[in-house]
Amino acid sequence: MQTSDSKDEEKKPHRCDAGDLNPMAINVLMDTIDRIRQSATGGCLSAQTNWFQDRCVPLPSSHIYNPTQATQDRIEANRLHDLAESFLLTADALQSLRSLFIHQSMALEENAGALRLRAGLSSLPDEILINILECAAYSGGSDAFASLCTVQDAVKLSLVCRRFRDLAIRSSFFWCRISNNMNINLVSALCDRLSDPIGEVFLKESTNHDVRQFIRAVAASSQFWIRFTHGLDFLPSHSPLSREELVDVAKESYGLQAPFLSEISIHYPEDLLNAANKDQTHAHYYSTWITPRLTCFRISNLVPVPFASSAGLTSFTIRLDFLKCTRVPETITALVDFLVSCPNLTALALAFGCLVVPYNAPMRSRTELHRVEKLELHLSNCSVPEVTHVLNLLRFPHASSFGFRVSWYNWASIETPARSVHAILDDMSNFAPSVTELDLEVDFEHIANQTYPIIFPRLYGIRHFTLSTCDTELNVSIPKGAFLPSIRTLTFKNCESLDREWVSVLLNRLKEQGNLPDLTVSDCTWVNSDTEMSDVLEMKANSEASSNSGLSVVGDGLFESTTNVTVEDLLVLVKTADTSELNRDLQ
Amino acid sequence: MSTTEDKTRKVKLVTSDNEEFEVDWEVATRSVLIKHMLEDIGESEEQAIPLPNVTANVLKKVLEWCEHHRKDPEPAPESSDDNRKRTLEIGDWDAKFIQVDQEMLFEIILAANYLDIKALLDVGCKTVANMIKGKQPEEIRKMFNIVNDFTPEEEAQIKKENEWAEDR
Repeated sequence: MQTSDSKDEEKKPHRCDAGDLNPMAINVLMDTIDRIRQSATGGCLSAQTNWFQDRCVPLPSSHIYNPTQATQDRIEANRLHDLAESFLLTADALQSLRSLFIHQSMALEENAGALRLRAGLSSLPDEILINILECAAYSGGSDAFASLCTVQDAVKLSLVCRRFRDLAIRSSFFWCRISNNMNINLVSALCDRLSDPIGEVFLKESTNHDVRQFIRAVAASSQFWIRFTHGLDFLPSHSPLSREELVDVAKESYGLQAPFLSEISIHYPEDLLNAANKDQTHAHYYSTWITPRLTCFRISNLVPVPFASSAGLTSFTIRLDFLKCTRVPETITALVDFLVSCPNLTALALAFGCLVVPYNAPMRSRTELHRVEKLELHLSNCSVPEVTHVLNLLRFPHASSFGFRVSWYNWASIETPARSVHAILDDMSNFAPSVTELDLEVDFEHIANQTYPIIFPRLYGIRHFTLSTCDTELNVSIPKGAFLPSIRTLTFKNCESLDREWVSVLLNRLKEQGNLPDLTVSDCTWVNSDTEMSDVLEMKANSEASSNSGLSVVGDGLFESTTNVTVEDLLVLVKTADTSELNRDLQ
Repeated sequence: MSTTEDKTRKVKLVTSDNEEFEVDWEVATRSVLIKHMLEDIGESEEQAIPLPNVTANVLKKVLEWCEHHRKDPEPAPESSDDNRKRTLEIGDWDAKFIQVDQEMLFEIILAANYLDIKALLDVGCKTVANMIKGKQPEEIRKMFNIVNDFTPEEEAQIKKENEWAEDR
């Protein structure tokens, strides 16, 4: 039923606006089109150059005194002038018409495109369209932020139409990651949608939402959890949960049944380690959980207590920042106790920070972890005796792979960082005697014109050696006699500041010993910051010249990405680089 | 496992519009469907593989992709961590390859799905996903010329979810 207002609207005359076509121009246009249609040439304008002339302009006539003719001529002249004016109007109208047609043409093309897209979309089976929606909305990453972004985008997609909605609901990727930065109603809705063991729960730092409500909601679907993450491993100190919140977490999750949970990551700030003398029961909330499939456990700044599932762990990573810790021996003892409760570990990563203050080593016999195959030790500003105390308590008789990362900043003495590398590598035969694969990463504070002296031990049993030096400028000494006698593969990774002369010495030594390992060079430009581009290009040209021998170069620098080379090729390249620098110096 | 003999072998493919293509075994077997069909028919080189769901112009395009990726390693079976690897990145060559008209884009997706070429299907899906990523529902409806077919109650429910999702 129309309202009176709408009837009044209909009665109102149309108001032309400036963009409309002039009615007179339309008449001329229509008349012109009619004439074109009726003409003998069938609308071919180029064949009718005098078309208007012949039809509109009076024919020439003889000149005599004739006032009547004069009046008639004036009338005709005015008519022609009006016609000319109307043609100008028509020309303007045609301009408008042209724009209109162009605009309409574009709009029609757009519609055609949309129809083609709709046709394409309609032809896709559900499984492909789900895949597309997942690609469009899924934010990668195992963290609370990524999970929230995914849900936000997924909900937006599900607002488009019913088919999108139905498919989005069916996607397991969209709703399986649940975090406490989400509205509690959303958390409940997501938990309701979990019907398979694919759930990932993120307990991030303090948010505006109530932690207790969150844990209560997610605990109701704990039978579908596969991964639980608390805090950020790379930033454990960022707005942590308060003690009260942790107590709530412990209460609400007490005795939680998570039959498919395989990974737990808990990252506390360093303060927790410093407060070791306080009651920390609430921080160990995980220890009451029933998690028969738990295999991977990562934790920062808290030594876990042995719990029901620790015997099933195959991978354990712990990061302890001892900066302000006053109970180091107790912490180390607790760590060893926990490791004893994990007899099935095959991968162990220990990351210590600021272990510098001397302490009395715990008195206990050495614990052997027989199943550990992959060992990682990350030391940041740690002094050798204190680390050695820990390593003297542990032994990994069957570890074949050792990843050793050592970083030093604000060191007191230039020898300190260098000594730590040598001492740990030298001690390797005691704590991990079966290592054949060594991945060494050195990252010392970069200081202009400062090189760090490092002495490598002989590394007898190492078959596969990867060296990463980051920005550190090292002055490496190789021991006399056999060095790396068992080497099979050698990798330089991210060694931009490594002294090329040393590389040359090392390779020549290996050659002399009869070791020609498979070489891989990865992310090393081998160009010092003061090296000019011409040198780089020259080096590149030289290396391209040797391409017959299998050397390949990527990008403007050398070895920007992983490249396999031979010892001979690398020696040529190192020599070329040195020569090019020498030439430059001479100039 | 392919043998040296396989690599020199030629394969005949016949499209729905009866056009015949002869391609290297290594190129044709980027398609898991064709690979299985070849395994079924055995050594018979003369026997052409019928592809009733693919037209010649689409197969030509698909084979162009297969030719470029003939040396690529076999795709790994989907793992439970597949979700972590889901990105919208497309390699440079693939991005250029997939710059086709909309009709062809969807034809390629359907053909890749039918022929079971996962990597090509991914390229197609990511291309369409890039078209809709970050757009508001109304923009997507306009782009695909589709209407909002929710009942007011359904729409209200989803909008409520949307509000929850936006509440941090």
